[in-house]
Amino acid sequence: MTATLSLIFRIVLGGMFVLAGLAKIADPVRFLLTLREFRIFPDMLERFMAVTVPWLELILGLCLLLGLLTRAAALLFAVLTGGFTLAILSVIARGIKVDCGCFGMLADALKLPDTADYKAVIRNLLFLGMALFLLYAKRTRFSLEEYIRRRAAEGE
Amino acid sequence: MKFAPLTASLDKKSMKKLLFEMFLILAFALCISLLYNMLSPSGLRILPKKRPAAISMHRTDHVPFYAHASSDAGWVR
Repeated sequence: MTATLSLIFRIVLGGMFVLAGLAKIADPVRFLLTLREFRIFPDMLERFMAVTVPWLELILGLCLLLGLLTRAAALLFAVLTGGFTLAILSVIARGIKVDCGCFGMLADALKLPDTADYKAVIRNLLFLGMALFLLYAKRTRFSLEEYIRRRAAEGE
Repeated sequence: MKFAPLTASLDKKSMKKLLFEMFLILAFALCISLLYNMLSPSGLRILPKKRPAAISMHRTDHVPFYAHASSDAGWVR
């Protein structure tokens, strides 16, 4: 049961992060403008984040999908999603209406909800719960890590 | 459902392993993103390149050739 749930969560979170990462990598300027609308970070940090965060999302997504370094990827996913959630909450508290920028240009193409509101917070908390599940789940199915470990054990 | 006990994640050895794996992912993401930013066309380059050194006003080697010419020599009328 845990293994199956873990696999489902890995596919959901990994798939979502891969798509979100690719959409932001394709249009980094849009992501930078969204970060600026949040009015939280200084200019240079915004630029640095606009370059690095999409790639981090893509790599974390791939790690989760493949089942490679799953626990570390899940923990980083939780930290990143927690940060996004705090940023959205700060925007709501200041009464600023912005796009959350979660899916970049994909939000327009697929008409996904992309506003920084309480719905986005609830969605993020749901993802956070899934990531914490992956962090503490003991077993998972179809994991590259598990496959490598098994092959190494057979070789000994 | 089987979960790793909370104490297992606080174990020093597994904690070190987890931190190392996190560092690995972060370092990889940082390298790839900076490389991509460096190689992407200027319109999509978010992080600026190193600023060019300021041109000294006392140097004349950057002045176009016609500026050295006396009066209007070199200009086509």
